[in-house]
Amino acid sequence: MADFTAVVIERSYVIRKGWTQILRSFDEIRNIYEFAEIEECLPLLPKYHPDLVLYHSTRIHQEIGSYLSGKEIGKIFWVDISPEEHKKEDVPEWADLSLSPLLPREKIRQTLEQIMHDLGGETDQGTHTELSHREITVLKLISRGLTNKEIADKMFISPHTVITHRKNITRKLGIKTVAGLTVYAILNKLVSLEEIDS
Amino acid sequence: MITGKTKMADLIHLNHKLLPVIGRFGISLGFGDSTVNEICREKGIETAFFLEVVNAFHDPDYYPQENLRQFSLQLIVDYLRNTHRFYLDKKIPEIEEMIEAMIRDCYPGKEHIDLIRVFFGNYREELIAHIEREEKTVFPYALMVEEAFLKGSLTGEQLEQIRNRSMKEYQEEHNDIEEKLYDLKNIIIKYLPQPQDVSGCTHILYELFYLEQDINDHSRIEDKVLAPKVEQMEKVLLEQYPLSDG
Repeated sequence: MADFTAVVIERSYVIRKGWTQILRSFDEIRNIYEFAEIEECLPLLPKYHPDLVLYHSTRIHQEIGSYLSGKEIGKIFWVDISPEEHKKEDVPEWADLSLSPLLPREKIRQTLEQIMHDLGGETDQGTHTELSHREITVLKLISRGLTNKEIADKMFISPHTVITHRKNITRKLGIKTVAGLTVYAILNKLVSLEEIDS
Repeated sequence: MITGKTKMADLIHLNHKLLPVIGRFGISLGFGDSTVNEICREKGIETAFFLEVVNAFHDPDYYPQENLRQFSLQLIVDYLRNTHRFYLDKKIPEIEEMIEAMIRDCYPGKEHIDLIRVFFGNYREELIAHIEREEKTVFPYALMVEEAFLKGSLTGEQLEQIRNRSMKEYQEEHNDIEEKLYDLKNIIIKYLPQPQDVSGCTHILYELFYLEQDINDHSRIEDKVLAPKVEQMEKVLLEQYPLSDG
């Protein structure tokens, strides 16, 4: 199961609660944080690492961009939730997509489902959690304490590919930390305790 | 929203997760029909502060009051320290004892539970490090800002500190203790070979969910009560002492 964090920034209490309620109905979303103003939210973005931000304002992207530049923060999918009926070309510069709260219920659900799909990459291949051979090799090396660079050298692949494998492993197993992956590897006899201690 | 006129008993009916919170304020059960105001007065607790904590804890969407002088940051810091003690002296040892008991109970997969023990030990070390960082750097910084704010004066050294390292940056430091807890839950739920008697694992999981929730609520008090107040004070101070002075 995917494990997304969403942030809703909306001044109107009623509308904010409405968005939260809808987001909550998606299994893919684990955490939802609510804010009335973007100023309260920006400092916390690097901490929350959201995948999805619902924001409603006509304010320009530079403000957000200049604040976040250089901060350690992954790719965020920005959704403009201004109530105007946007045409496709009217999506503001800072947003990836516009989603008006005035749209009918089915349309809103479909759009959000599409977003979950895009965010999750392969997640809609459902419960497929078998690790591939390559992923198992990477997992073994992670549990022996090797860095991404060392794993890349050993397997003759790029560090970027190692990171992709790691992301897929974490997504499939639902385990994020090295210590957790190590426990998994031992429980499944992929590595022995001696190998880890050495 | 919980107010001074809310009956303490209703507050618990509203959200029983507030039980450990009122415990940290030294309030015990058996309060009859007394209101929050009455009990706070009786126990010598600053009502405004109590309300801010229980509201922030109860409602994820709660926004703190604007009034900076309503109560001292020292109260928040003391409360947060108490919560830290609650984790380290009570919750963590309880969970450790549960894990030890499972190992003792001659469960065939002892070595598996031992992995959980080691993993939880690591988690504990990280939690301790995180708590120490807060208590040794973040809290003293917050109290320093408040002191300067109330005095309305600032030493050169203090000004330098505020300019170099604002509350915002303290908040941004990310750590993976939340992720470790999440992993541990998933390992037990999805991957640990289960013993015949599953009650041990069930108890541990129950405690882990509880701890996770409590730590999240605790962080929310730092993020929504402590940090915004310090940031407002920083702003006032920096306006009084513009950069050209230094």
